[in-house]
Amino acid sequence: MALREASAPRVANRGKLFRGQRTAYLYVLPALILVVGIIYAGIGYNGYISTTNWNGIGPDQSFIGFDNYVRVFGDPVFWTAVRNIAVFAAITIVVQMAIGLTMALLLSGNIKLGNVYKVVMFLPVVIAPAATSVAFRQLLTPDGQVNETLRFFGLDVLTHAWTSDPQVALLALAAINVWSWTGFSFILYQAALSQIDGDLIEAAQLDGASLWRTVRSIIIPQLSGTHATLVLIGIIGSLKTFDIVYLTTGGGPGGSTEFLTTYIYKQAINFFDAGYAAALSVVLLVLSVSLTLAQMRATKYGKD
Amino acid sequence: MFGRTTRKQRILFQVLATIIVIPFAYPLIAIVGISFDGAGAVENFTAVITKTPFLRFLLNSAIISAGTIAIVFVFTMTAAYAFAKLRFRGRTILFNVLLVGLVLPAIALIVPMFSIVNQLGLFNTYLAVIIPLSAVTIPFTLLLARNYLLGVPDEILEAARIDGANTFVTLWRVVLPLAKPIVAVVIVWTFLQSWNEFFLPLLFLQSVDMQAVTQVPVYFTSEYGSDVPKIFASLVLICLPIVIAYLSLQKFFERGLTAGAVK
Amino acid sequence: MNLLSRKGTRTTTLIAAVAAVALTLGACSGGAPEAEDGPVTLEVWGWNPDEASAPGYFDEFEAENPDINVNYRFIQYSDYVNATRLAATTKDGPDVFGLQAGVTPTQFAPLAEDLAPYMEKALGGNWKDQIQATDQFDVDGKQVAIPWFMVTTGFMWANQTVVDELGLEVPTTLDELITFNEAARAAGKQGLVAGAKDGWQNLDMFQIIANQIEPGLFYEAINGESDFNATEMVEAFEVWKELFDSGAVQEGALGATAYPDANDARLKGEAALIVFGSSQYRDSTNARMEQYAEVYGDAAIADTTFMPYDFPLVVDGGEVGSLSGGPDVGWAVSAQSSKKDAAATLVQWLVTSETGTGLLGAALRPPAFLGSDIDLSDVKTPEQVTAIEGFLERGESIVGPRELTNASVKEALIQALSSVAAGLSTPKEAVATVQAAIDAA
Repeated sequence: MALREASAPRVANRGKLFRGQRTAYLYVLPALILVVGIIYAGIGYNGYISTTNWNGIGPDQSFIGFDNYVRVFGDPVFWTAVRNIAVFAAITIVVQMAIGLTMALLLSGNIKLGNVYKVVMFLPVVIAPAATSVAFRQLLTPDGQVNETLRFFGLDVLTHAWTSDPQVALLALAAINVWSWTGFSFILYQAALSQIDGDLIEAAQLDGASLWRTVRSIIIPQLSGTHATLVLIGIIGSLKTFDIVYLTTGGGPGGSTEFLTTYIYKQAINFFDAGYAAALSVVLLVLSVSLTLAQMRATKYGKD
Repeated sequence: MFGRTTRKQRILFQVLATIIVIPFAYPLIAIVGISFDGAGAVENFTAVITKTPFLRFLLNSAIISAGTIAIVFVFTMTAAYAFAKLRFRGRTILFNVLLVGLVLPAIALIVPMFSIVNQLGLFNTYLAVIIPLSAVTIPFTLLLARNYLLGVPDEILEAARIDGANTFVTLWRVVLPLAKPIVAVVIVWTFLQSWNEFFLPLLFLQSVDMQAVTQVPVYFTSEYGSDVPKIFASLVLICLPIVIAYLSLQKFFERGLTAGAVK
Repeated sequence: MNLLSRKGTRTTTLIAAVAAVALTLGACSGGAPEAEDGPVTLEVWGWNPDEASAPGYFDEFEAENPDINVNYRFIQYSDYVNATRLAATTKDGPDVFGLQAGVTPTQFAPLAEDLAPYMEKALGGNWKDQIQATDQFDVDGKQVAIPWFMVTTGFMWANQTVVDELGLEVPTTLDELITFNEAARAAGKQGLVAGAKDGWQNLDMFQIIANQIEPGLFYEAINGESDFNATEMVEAFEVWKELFDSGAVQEGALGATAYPDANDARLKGEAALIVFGSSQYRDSTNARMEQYAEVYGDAAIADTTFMPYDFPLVVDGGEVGSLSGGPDVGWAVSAQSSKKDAAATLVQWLVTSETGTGLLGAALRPPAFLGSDIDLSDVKTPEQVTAIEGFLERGESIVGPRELTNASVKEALIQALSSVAAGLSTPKEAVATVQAAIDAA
C-alpha cells in the first residue's frame, strides 16, 4: 500500500538527495507497523500483564502491583537460570571463538580439502536447531553413539548420562551449541582475515617474527572488531537460546539447565502464570538490551 | 595468510585442521548413518514419507517460508531504501526503534503473542507464524540492507532524480538492480529463519495438516514410538532442502551471516 | 548499529499512533454464529482416546446420532493444554474438549460451559449420585466437565515375557529390585525404567513411597491438613533419592520421558518393569497388543504379556499396596461453542450411554458412570485376568486422589522431586519449599 503513493512532491534540491520527502515515511511504515505492532505492542502488553495475576486463559485478572517482580528476584530458579546462562555464554563464546579463529587461520593456508572442511564446519549452522537437538538427545543418551565411541576407544571414564546428569548437562548443551555455531565464528573470522593487509604480515616475517608471534601480535589484534561482534552475538544468543534446551533436557534435571526462556515458557504454558511469565519476559528484555548497550559501549562498537 | 611456511608446518596444519573438523563431521555422519539403520535406508525413508504427513508438513513449511520471505523482502527493501537514501525527520530514532528487535528473544513475547493471535483470530493459520516471524526477522535484514544501500553512491540516484524519476521509480529501476547481492542475502537469510523456526509453529499451528517440518521428529516420536532410525531419517529429510540450498548458494549464506556483523 | 543516539519526541507520537492502528486492526474480528439445525459437525479435541482408538467411540456415536458428526482431533498431552487453552477462547476452537483432573479444571473453568443443567435434564436431579467423582470437575459450583473413566495408580507393570526370558522373579523389595536390574542389565536389557524427566511420573512414584511410609498422609499434607515438612515426608524424599543413587531406576532416568522413551522400552521388550497404572489394563488384551505390533512394526509384540504387580517395598518397615486414583479424562463443552446442545449430547453419550460405557469397558477402563462393568473377555491369559480383577477390586478403596489440584503446589513438588533426584537439593530443603508453596496456596 505504501508503494501506491508514487507521485511525490518535489522539494528544492540543496545537494541532499530527496531531502524532506514525506513519502519516506510511507516506505518505512510497513516495517514499522509490523515491528511496533508485534514487538513494541508485545513489550507494552507484557508490562501490563506483569502487574496482574492473570493465568493466561480466563477473564479474571487483578492488579497486584510489582509483586511479580519482587517474586522474580526472590525466586531461586530465576537465579539458577541467570547463572546457567552466564556459564553457558562464557563457555560457548570462548570455545566457539577459539576454534573458529584457529580453523580460519589454518584454512587460510594451503590445506588439502579446505573447502570440504569449510562446508563441514558451516553445515551445522544452517541445520534446524530442532533437528540438531533431537539428534543430539539421542547421541548423548547413556547408550548413545557418543558413549559408545568413547568406550570403543577405551575412554570409559569419560562416559556420562550426558543430558540427565546435573553435573554435565549444561556442558552437554554448551557442546551442542558449539557444534551448531562454531561455523559462524569461523566464517566471520575468515571474512575478517581476508581484509587484513598481507604486507603487514610479510613485513613482520621479514623481521624474523615467528609464526605464533605473528598470529598473536599482528593478526589477533587486527581482528578486534570481529572479536567484539562475536562476544555481543554470543551474549544475545545465549539469552535467546530455547530450542536446544527445550528439546533435550527441558531445563532439567532439577533445574540444572534451566534458561530464562525455558522458564518463561513453563510459567506461561505449564504453570498457568501468565503474569509471572510476563514479568520474567520484561526482566529478560531489560537484561538483553542493557547487556548489549554495555558491551557496545565497552568496545565502542558501532561508533563509526 | 602465514606467508612462507615450511613443509613441516604445512603438515602440522593439515593434521590440526583434520583433528578439529572430526568432531564436527562426526554427528553429521552419525545422523545419516543411524537413518540407514534398523529396517534399512529405503524402508526408513519410505516410512517417513508415506506413513507420516511429511509431504504436507513440507508444503506448510514452504508456504510459511514463501509468505515470510515476501513480507520481509518488501518491507525490508522499502524501509532500507528510505533509511539509507531519503532524508526525513526522526530517521535515526526510527531506525533504532526497529533495531531493538535484534536483541529480543521471541519467547519473551509468548504472553502477548497468545493474545495477539487470539484477537486477530489467527490461531492455526499460516499468518499466526508468518506475521510474528516477519516482525522478528525484519530488524536484522533491515540492518543488512541499509548498510549495503549506504554504499550505493548517491550520484547514481541523483542522476535518476534529475531524469524525473520519483522515489519509487528510483527504488524499482535503479536501487533494486544495484542491490541484487543483498536481496539474495535477505531472501536466503529469511528462508533459513522460517524453514528452521520451531517455536511459533509449536505454539500456533496445532492441527496435523498445518504443522511445519520442524515438528516432524516430535510428531513421528509421539505417533510411532521412538523408532530411532526412522526419526533420524526424518531429520535428514527436513534438513535436506536447506542443505541443498546452502550447497548451491554457499556464498549468499555465508555473506548473509557475515554481512550484518562485519562492517 | 547505533542504538545509543538521542531521542526525538515526534517519533514517539508516531509510534503511539501506529501502535494504536495496529491494535485496532487486531480488535475487529470474530465469527458469525452458526445455526443449529440440520446435521451439525462437532469439533472434538482430546489426548485420550488416542488416534487408534478414537474412531471406535465416535463412529458408534455418529451411528446412533445421525444428525451429529464428530471431527476428532488427537493432540499429544505434552502439546494438548497449550493448544486447547488458546483454541477454546475462540469460536474456531473445539466444541467439546477433554480435561485432565487436577490442576486444569480450575484453569479452564472460565472457558467451559456449566454442564450441570444438561446432566440434570438427562439423568434427573440425582445425576451426581450416578457418576463417580464429579466433584473433581466442580469449580466453585460450576460443573466444568463430566468424568469419563477412572484411573488407579500406585503399582507397576512387568513385561512378563521379558522377565521370564531372563529367568528372573519380579522383585518385591528394594534389594531385590537392585539385583533384578543388575541381572537384566547383564543380559542387555533394562530392569525398572522411569521417565523421570516427566513431572507426573515422578509424582506417581513419590506417592507410592509416601504411601508405603504412612498411607494417606501425603494427601493430608498437600491439602494443608498436616505438615508437609514432617519427618515422614523427609523420609519419603530420602527414599526417593535412594532410588536414583542405588540403581533402582535406570541410568539416565532423569533425562528420559515416560512417553515415548520408557514406554517404548517396555513395549519393545527392552525393559522389564515400569510404574504405570490402570490405563495399562488394556495392554493385556489381544486387540491392544495387535495395535502395538502394527505401530511398532514388530509382530512379536502381539505375544507380549504384561502383568500388574505391587511396587517393591522400598521403605524399611513400610507397607505395600496403597493405591491412589480418581477420574482421568473429563469431557467439557466450550463456552464459545455455537452447538452446545449437540456438544452436551455427545458428552452424555460418552459418559452414560450403554454403547459408550460398553466401549470403555472393552478397553478395560472403569467408566465413571456407576453400574457399568469392564469386559475382560479379550484378556490374553487367565493369570492376567486374576491379577487385573484383584487390582480393580482394590481400586475401589483408594487412599487419596492421584492428581494435585493447586498449580503452584504441584509445580513446587515437581521441582523438588527433580532437584532431589539430581542431588541439587536435600530432602529437608525440598519439603521446606513444598511446605512454603502449600502455605502460600
